[in-house]
Amino acid sequence: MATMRRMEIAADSLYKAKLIRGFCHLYDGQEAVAVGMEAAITKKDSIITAYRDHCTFLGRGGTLLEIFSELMGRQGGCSSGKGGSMHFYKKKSGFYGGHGIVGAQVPLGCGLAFAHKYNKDDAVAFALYGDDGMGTAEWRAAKSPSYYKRGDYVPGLKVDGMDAFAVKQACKFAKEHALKSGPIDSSLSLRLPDPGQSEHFRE
Amino acid sequence: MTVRDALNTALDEEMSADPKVFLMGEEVGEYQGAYKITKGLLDKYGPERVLDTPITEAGFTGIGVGAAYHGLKPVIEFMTFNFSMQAIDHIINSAAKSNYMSAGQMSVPIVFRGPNGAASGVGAQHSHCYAVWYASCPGLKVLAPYSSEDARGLLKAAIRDPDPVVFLENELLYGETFPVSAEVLDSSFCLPIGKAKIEKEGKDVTITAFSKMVGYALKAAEILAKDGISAEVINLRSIRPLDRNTINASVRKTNRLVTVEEGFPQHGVGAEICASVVEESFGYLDAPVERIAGADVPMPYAANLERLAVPQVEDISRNHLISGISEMYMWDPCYYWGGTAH
Repeated sequence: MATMRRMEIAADSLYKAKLIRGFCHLYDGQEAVAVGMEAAITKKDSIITAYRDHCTFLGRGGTLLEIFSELMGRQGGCSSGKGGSMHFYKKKSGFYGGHGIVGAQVPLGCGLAFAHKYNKDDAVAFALYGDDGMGTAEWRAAKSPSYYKRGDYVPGLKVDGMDAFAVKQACKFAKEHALKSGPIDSSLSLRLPDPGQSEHFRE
Repeated sequence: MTVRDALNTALDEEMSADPKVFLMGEEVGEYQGAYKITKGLLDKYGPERVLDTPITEAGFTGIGVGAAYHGLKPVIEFMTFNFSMQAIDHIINSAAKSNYMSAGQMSVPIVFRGPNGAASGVGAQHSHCYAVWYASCPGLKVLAPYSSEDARGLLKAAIRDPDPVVFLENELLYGETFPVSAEVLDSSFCLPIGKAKIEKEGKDVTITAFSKMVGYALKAAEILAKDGISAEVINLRSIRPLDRNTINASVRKTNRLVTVEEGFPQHGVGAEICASVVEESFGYLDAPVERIAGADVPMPYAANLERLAVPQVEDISRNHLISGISEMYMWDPCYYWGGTAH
């Protein structure tokens, strides 16, 4: 987690220095989620997330060198410099990206889960979403922010996302539940400071 | 006047003139617009006419089209046209085709606007140009402004138009300043849809372009002028309907054509212009039509690759056909990146 935090802070400095271009969505503050989740699952399980993917990628076995190379558009990057911050992948470790279009990873995650079920491989897919969609304020981004209730259709868990051990237990429970009964929604709450600065419009 | 201010004042004036006009999109209200195009409009017109939406293009586009069915005049903003793909069923099937399918009963006076095409360092999913996607569909009008005059005149025309209009802006042009006359600043100013503008007259070669590439074509024309080549630069302004008359008249004068666009080459705007000129002015061509387009690969992130993936001014000026050089600098990046299969 400490590595992840320092990595994201370094990325922030590089972004402000304009050495990282385009978009740069940082995960500092959310490290417990990536770490807790990894502790509960294996590399045969799949993870798919949105564009805030640096730490998830690191958790799945990515290296700092590949991360920073990619962010700075170098050939040694995990996507050979062609993807950028939002498009990290590590298929052989079950990490399916890295997606720029808000919400796209949700049906894709269902597809990954479908494949696991179809192959009867005793693995699950974790589709991560949330973080209010870029800088859009929560009350504007969605109709109801009680995501874990999921319209009372899919069972849900509300978890303290700041506690890595809580996350680990929740993911372990979620995996067992998914393998036995079906999809489960977990809402991991985070306490993060107000970022204050928009990432898609700078004067 | 900057393009941003041109768009903002156009929206303001049209909303003031017609109470049926309303705005809808992500961050158009409280945030003052993701790119500040709608700045001040929520304060002026209130939340009933400037609506912030959740992140659900399929939802709010459908709502907009439904409102237009009932006679309101929505201006729907896509934060970029990449996200319009989430809503494209409503743009095409619900909006574009309705007037025809209903034999004229269901006119859909809606505008879909937002930045289109390549920005800077935003990667493949955020850099696509949708000009030809929408321009291929009968029932839509597709506009692409370049200057502030274009932005004001074409947006006003789009809002007043009774049919669905796709209005393709460019993020990198928002901050650019262009001189505007008193006529352009008047609230009744409007440009005709379907009419191109000859930005610079010439006699040796016709260069067609739209949006940001118009600026590049004009710079290329300056470079060519130093070689004694007089290029005529046409700002298309309207992708659908395409001003075939202006283009053909120009080619009949210059006998040579270079088309420029930032988007992908296959089935591009240049392909359509080339077909039109071959159909109507074949006998006037002294050389094959030259298409300059973006590279045939998803937009790469790395800065050096991104620069190679979009036309630069040198690519346009280098592609002149006048001096009869038989070896053409053909831009085919497939050779550089090992083919199209990954």
